[in-house]
Amino acid sequence: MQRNLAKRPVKKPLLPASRRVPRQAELFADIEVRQTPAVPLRKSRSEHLWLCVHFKSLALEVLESEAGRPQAVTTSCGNKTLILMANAVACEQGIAAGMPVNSALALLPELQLHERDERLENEALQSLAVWAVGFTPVVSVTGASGLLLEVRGSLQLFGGLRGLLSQMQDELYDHEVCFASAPVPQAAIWMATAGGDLHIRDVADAELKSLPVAVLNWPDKLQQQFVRMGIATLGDCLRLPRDGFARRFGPERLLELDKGFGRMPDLRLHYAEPVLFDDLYEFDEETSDYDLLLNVLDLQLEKLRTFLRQRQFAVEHLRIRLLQRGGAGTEIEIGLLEPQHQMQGVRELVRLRFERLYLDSPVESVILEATSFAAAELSSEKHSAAGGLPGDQTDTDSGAGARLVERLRARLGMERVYGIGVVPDHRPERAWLKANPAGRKNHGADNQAQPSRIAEPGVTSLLRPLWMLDKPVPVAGRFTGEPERIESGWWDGDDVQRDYYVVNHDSGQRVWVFRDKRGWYLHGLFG
Amino acid sequence: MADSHRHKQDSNGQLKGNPDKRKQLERLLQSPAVRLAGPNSFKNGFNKTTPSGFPELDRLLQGGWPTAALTEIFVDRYGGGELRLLLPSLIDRLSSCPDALIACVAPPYVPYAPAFHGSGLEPSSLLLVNAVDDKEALWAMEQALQSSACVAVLGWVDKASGRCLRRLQLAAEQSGSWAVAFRPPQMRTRQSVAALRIRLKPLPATQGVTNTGGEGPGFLQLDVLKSRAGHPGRVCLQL
Repeated sequence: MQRNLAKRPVKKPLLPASRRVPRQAELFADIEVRQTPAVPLRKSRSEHLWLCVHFKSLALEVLESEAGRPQAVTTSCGNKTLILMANAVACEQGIAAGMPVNSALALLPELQLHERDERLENEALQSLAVWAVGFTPVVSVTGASGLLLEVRGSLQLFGGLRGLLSQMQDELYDHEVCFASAPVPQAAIWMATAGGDLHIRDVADAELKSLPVAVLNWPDKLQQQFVRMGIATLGDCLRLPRDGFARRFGPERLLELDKGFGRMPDLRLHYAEPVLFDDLYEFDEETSDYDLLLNVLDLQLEKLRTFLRQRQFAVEHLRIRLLQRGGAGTEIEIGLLEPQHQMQGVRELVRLRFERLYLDSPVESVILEATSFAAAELSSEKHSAAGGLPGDQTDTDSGAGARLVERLRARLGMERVYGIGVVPDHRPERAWLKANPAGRKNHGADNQAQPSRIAEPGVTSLLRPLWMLDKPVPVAGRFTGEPERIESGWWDGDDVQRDYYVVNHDSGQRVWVFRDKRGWYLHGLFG
Repeated sequence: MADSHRHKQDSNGQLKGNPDKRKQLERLLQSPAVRLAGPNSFKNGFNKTTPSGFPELDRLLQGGWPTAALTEIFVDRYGGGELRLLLPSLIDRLSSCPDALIACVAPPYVPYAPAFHGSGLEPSSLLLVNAVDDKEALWAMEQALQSSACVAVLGWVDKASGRCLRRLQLAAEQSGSWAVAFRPPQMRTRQSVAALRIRLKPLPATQGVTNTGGEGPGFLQLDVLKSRAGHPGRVCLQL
């Protein structure tokens, strides 16, 4: 049937597009899978061996829970909350995955429930991936609780597959795992999901074909279709006609099956360890000499500069740890507004920090750490020396602004140097926020509108004081005039109902007072 | 009598007389230590001014606020109209370099962003520094002046020694930015090298001025105590 469809020509439509009845060939014109011929399963041994490590109860293990009590992890599916997994004690009492929470609690009232924490699971999986790199350099994270390792090259070192598996089992003593291996990664994942300790050498293996279709982890609707069609195993799926399968389940599902049986290549994203810079300098004898510490830090910053230059990175955040006598330590965090790869500015900031540093005990070692990097924007220094392009001038100005802010923050602290911004809120105390001072304006449209804004009468209709007090101060006295009523904020519980007056004080200052249901308060000063 | 003190000049403004002596005299006149009062005071480079937005004040100051110098303004109470006095010239300075910052060091209260926005000064150009004591405030002002990122540096400092003020003045001269220090009025008796010293007093509401909710007139009385290019005097401004 495939061949017939390929030879039939596609006729041009006679009716306009809106009323055209789609022809059969056009319906399937975008399903390309139909065009590829079915590749017979190869019986030869593949050159790769993929091991899938499936952590069956990772969601439960990352949460701190007592082992003896029944515990379960819940997840919300739509508006319902279901049990995702339960520990052994709970399972004995009849709690199963997929059960609604209310039923579970009715069955076992002393069941302890935990909300699923995907962030913790992700972190645990990342650290397990780091562990797995110890066995093979090719590690890939699959799903939320699985690792794929390509172990063909490591078999000789660890004494064959069995030796490798026993060593992994020993090291993973506090996790519940199941292993499965196959020449293609997707097949290994299926077999690990099935829970078995399956290891096959060949995709044409009968064991792979006899896996139930539930291992595919496809949505419930498709699983029900399988049931209706009478398909129970992966082998049954293989026997279905390809174009019909693509039509009913989607071409991407057919592709997944092909990848699992080795017909199509399966590329996996390799896990790469995060880059970090960590340098430790231990003194021969403990010291409290600031100059010596600064010299050591200069050396470490030089190493950081080489590290950054080799990888073309720029650093945004540094941490200096001073380990002192008796296990105490001091941490200095230096955050940079713009990622830097030259170290002169950073050196100055470090010096400024040290000026207000007090060490109560001598320092034994210095650690310089940098964890967050960004791609370095390398500007050609020769350019600026020769005068540079017209655009360079603004770059240096905004760099000067950022450097000034960094220098001020290094001496005074992050929270005391800030810029301000406008928030659209009627409540006056919420209409502003602290922000990072912007040295560079990115919106050109605002710049052009700025001169005309002073002339616009509409914008200045809201008379606001230039100075605002942190908290309104109660005042004595009554004032008259035309009030501005502000009633707002009912949606977050902080509602205000105030009448604001502009009052000329006897001393000559013009002030902004309001009348609340509690009394008269001073809120701001004009001028 | 003024003529006898005036230097002999030809039509181009060049000094007449012996060429060597003329050069010496020119060099002497260029130095910032020499104040040249009179209509020729604009010729010296260090008397750059920025218009203040109030014509009476400009007339008294012979041009406006002195840029590249330190201005001291004495107010009874902080927040009594000094910022509104400077607002027009700040907006003017920002319009010529929109990327620059205006640093406010140790402000008495929180500057209210929507008010700045409504008056034409973009709040994103403001850099606020809360200093714990005057020493930190002065240090922050000096840093801001030395960097080329600020077009104006405003500081509220109570106690500052003459030496610190001289450092601020030097930093302002070298970088060409405008430094303003707001101080309590008791400090005006101390010596200072500031280029301009002004005492500010908001006048109480006079008769005929009603307390309306709109923009009622507010008056400021300025006493110019010392001015490098201009004469001491008094002027009343309406904000």
